[in-house]
Amino acid sequence: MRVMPFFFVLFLLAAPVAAREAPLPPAQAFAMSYARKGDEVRLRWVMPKGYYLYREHITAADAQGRTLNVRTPNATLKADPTFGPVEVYYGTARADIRHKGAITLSYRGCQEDGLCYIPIRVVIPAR
Amino acid sequence: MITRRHMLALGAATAAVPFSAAAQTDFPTLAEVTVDPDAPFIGNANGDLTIVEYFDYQCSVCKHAHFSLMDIVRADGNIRWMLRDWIIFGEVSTYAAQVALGAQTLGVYEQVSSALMRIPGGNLNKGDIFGALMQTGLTPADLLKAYRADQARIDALLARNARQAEGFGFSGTPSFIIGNAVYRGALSPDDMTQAIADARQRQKALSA
Repeated sequence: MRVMPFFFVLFLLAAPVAAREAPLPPAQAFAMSYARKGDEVRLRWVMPKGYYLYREHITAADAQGRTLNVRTPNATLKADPTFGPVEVYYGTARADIRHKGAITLSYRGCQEDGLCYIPIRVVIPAR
Repeated sequence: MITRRHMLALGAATAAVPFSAAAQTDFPTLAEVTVDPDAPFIGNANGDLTIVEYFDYQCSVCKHAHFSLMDIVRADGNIRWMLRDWIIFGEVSTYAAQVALGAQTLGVYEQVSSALMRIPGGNLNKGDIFGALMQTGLTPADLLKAYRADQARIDALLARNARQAEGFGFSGTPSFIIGNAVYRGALSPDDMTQAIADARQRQKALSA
């Protein structure tokens, strides 16, 4: 029997609407912007309600792959009854990095009870 | 408001154009995803419905979703739940997958994967895994030995899982195929129960 490809059968879906919203694309879930002033790079994220960014997973490396120091403020302690406390940012997040060369930034977060995103990597060009 | 169902409908509509030219070959077929003797499963091997989950052992949402779905699968009794490791969080996730898939070759997959899913926290280290396995009477060394004995097959499975997840364009884990429908992200127990009922209805309609 020929198996029907997904794209075709998806047209036949008549599933009732699920209550939880579909996860946003990563760039909308964790909208990141930065400003560079000299060697100082200031990063900022804006997240819709229901999304959070892990403090410990905001990391940066230089062009040679060496870890750079990322300064981040204290975050909200997410009390998870099963998995214990973890520091996360809701709404907005910021971080500072001092480096004049190109920076490879990595960060990750989740939609509450929905989806944990693939780590996002962004290259910030040298000044 | 964009809902999961709306996203599905949008995905189908946007995917239809390239597919009409049969140009997009990365989008997996139902057979590729659901028929795979190498992929581990929990539940009823002859179940009338297959759920495929793409997950990572370091995904905190996956851990919550895992035991919720386990309860549903057990209560239902007629679901084949296929678990496809999609390693997105790095080296320790690879290690955990190797340990679990080594356990599969020894016939103790469910025991070991559940132990890994119970480890507190979103971040694992090898010590956590060792500790979790001690409670099962197994050691990572035993399971890695089993993995290495069948490494080519298991590595090919992991590569296949990643290709499929990327082919679907998933942004993260968990993501599901329930029957013939794609769901991005975890579902609440009520939504999962409804999705299962809907999938069975579609199967019935397609076979009528």
